[in-house]
Amino acid sequence: MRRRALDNRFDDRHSQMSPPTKTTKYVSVYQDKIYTINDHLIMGVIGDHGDSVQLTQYIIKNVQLYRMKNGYELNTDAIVHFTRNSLADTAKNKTPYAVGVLFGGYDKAKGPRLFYMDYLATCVAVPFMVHGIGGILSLGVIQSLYSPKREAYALMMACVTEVQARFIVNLQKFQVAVVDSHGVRYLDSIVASKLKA
Amino acid sequence: MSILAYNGGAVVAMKGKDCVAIATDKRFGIQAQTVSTNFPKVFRMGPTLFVGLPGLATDTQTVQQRLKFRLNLYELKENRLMGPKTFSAMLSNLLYERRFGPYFIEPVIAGIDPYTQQPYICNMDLIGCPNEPEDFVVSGTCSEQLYGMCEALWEPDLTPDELFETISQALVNAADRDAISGWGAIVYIIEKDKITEKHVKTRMD
Repeated sequence: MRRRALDNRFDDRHSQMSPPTKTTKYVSVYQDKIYTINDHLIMGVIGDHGDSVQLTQYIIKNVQLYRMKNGYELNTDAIVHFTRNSLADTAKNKTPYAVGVLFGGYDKAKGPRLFYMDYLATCVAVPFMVHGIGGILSLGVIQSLYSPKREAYALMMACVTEVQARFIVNLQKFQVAVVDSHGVRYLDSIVASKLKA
Repeated sequence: MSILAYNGGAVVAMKGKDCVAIATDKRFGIQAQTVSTNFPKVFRMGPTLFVGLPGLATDTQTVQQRLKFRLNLYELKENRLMGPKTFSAMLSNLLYERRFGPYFIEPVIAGIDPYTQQPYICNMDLIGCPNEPEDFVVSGTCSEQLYGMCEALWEPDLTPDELFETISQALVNAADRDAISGWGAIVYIIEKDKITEKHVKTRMD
């Protein structure tokens, strides 16, 4: 079965915390960056966390509202189109959503779908894509190893290994989600320290 | 760098004898990083009407959708096809509405009038100032190279086959001298009762 999964980092984002002492510490936290829109669509979002949550919640609620109003669900392409429209409207404002998005969806009629979208609301259907600085390193790895029939999980482990070797920030944990005809499910996170070099 | 050159891309259109041709490259990138090699910037808007929208890719998509919307409304209200001249005026109007916050695209229109059978080409700047020459129009990040190629290769009264050869050579050789255009091309030859779509291979580096 063809699988499409999102290569989205579940890394340690450094957020600043001010404990009630004189010193200020940097505390690393794990942040979930894959959002489930419905049982056949997931969104991997990077960027300002406030924007990510605001945008995805807006999409989720509107998709639910549409289902309640009309009695049937929007398909993958329609939800992606709706998101593009929403994002395009705000992209030229003073306060655009600063987000990079990958949509992974499974459509009964069209099969697996993967879309790339940037903060300007440029939307392209792609076989594989990445967002973020670590992602640029991974893109070459994917490009050289990718084929539609290949196991995506192994490819992602290769990407994590490459990011570990070449990226200055230590990204430890990568969350992996899959959408197929059975719906959305999570695979084991890829943990960099547990990979064989 | 200009926002018009953020994603890259090229479109060219040429007149022939009772035919017109329009061609586009297929690259979509973020500055120097190529993201997709299947992102044509030319869209079919009617039986013999095509529009190319090179520039900022998000605006390519937005303007294509808004044009299709306005075109559909026109055809439903009037119950007839829209001619290429009317289409140009509609696009010019759409762009000038955003005079002080423009869509960052420089459109090219190519078609044959469905009523007079006259070939028609036109290009515009990003706020909708039209230009309707007798020979060829160019647009995109390698427009200077395209001007050079077209100026050297084009001649009057080309047959559809000759026109295909001319426009393909012009686009391929211009895009090869531009780092952010190319990665394949599509050429459409428009005759009054026939559309030919040809996919042209180019250098992939």
